[in-house]
Amino acid sequence: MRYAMAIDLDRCIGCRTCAVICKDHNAEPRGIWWNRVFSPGAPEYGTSVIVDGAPRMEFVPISCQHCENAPCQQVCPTGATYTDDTGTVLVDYEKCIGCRYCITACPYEVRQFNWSKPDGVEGVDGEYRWGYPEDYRQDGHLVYTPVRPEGVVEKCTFCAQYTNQGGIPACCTGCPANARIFGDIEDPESEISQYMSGREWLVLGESFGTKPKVYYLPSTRGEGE
Amino acid sequence: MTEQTQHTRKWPIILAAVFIAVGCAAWICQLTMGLLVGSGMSNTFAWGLMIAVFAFLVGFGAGSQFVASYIVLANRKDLMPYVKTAQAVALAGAIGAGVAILIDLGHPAHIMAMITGPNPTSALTWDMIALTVFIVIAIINVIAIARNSKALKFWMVLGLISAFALQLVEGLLFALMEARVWWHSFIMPVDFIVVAVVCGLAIAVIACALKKDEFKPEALHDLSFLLAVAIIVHLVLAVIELAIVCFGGSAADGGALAAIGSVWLFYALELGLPLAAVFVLLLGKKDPAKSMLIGGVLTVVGMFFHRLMLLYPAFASPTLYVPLSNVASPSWPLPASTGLYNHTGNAFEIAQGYIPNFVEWVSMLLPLGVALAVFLVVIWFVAKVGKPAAEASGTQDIIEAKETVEVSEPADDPEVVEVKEALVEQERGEGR
Repeated sequence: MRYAMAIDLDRCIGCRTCAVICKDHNAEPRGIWWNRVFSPGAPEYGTSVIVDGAPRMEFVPISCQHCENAPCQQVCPTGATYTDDTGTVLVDYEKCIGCRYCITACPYEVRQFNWSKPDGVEGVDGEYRWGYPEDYRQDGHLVYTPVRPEGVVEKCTFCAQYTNQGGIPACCTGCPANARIFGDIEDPESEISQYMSGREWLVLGESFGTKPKVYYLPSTRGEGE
Repeated sequence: MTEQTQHTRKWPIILAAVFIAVGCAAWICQLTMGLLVGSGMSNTFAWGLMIAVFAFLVGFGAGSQFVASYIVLANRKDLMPYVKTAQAVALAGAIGAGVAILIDLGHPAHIMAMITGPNPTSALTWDMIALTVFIVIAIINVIAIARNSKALKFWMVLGLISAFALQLVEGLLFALMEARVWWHSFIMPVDFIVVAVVCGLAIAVIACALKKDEFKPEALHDLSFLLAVAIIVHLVLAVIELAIVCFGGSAADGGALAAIGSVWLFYALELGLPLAAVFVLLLGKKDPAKSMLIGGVLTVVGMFFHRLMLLYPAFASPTLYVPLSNVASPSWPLPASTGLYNHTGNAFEIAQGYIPNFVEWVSMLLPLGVALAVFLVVIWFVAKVGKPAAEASGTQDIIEAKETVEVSEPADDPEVVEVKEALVEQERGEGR
């Protein structure tokens, strides 16, 4: 089994729902974003860029690419970053020493550090916290906890707390345009395999040799003009 | 020992104690308030001043081991009085560097994970092993010098190998990062070794200039010349490193160059100060000791800027550049999450600048204070605890070197007095 995600750039409308729902479901502390969406070349978000005299606009969502050849995993001195049986790259919060070597190694700049104690938001009856409410352990590794320890690194887990129970990542659930397709890339009958069948795809930062498991289906907007 | 001598001996101890106490206070601030308040770093600029201090100190540690091993193995009798100091700097630099890394950790409470489950593919694991081995061998070398062991040359060979391995691993720690064009070149590990030689010789030049009466002028001249040559080699490597990025042609290379431009003064000081030191060292014939002092200090300051410049071009520039997916287009960097929203209000930035904050500057005193304390302990240990001279081994070259010292040093020099007192004590003990 190899979990992977396809992102159809034709379908992405740049609403950033994926970033927000990811932050919400994974209890990401203030200032931390596992998921981000930007429009390449645009001076302001959601504006176009002129290429060959014509305006172009594209939205590129970026989160952990769950690389087959993950540089973050190679450099982690304690093995806190590891790849599980599904090919998902995870961080064990109880083994991370906060050296941030993985942050320097990741070319996608998706790793986030807890620079301070995470704080909740003040609610009507005291402190309000959001996200999946319980710790989630995988083979003893603490890969999700709603209140993050200070001084550890975190990133997208493909929502391990859901996918390991048969669910799909929150960003896929929440995408209003169904631009994100998740599943087992080794299973030819899976939704992602069927979706990608016969279509071109690309990966980000191919020159780094990281072999990401997040595939981008290129936009066809503007073709044939 | 005179009252004045006692007074001059006390101030380094007081300085080390103050550095450690104040540095500890700053570290406690970082631990309790978090690095958000206790540093100027961000997700995009994830390594800061303490990594520069680590590389700076470890360079002096390994470099001084190079110098100590060179003096002993090459039978440089004229430089033999400096061996003790060089070995002390080697150990002090390495331990200070280890402390700097500990301070930099976000969650030091998990440090046992490095012992119980080290990842063999991580250069940081190898760095920990190399640093530990280096420290152990440096301690053995200190004891060997103090006891004037017959096996000193053997341990100095191991010291040389361990220093070389340490700097190689340090260089690879950066060079293997494919994501950072500023680091990802074969120059990095080579230059780490050369820079260590520069640092070791710079400290040697300063120390020998301060005690110029202990050394023959030819020995001082040799040290100056060696330092000048080492600096030139380093500067050549630095120019090649810059050329690799200049002619790389990728968007990331352009980003690194832009980052260098944003801190051009640091880069100018990194290259300019050691270059000035070369001229001072080679041309300052009028008062060689003064030239050595100035040249050495210029080099040390230049090496600090060199270590800072490890960081800026690597972190103040984006790593990922993305083109449009279906049309030939330039590649653009995408903003990344800074992690500083609570602090600065900026959630996303293409690149983040970095200015070490006050707490970081103060916490830097802890590794420096520990290094100074270790240095003082080693000097005290060699002078007081160990056998002070070459009598035990009967090694002729060291005996001759000691005789040179005795002839050239003023009779009231406290170190010589101490050595002689220790000798007398030892002879009395043997007599009993």
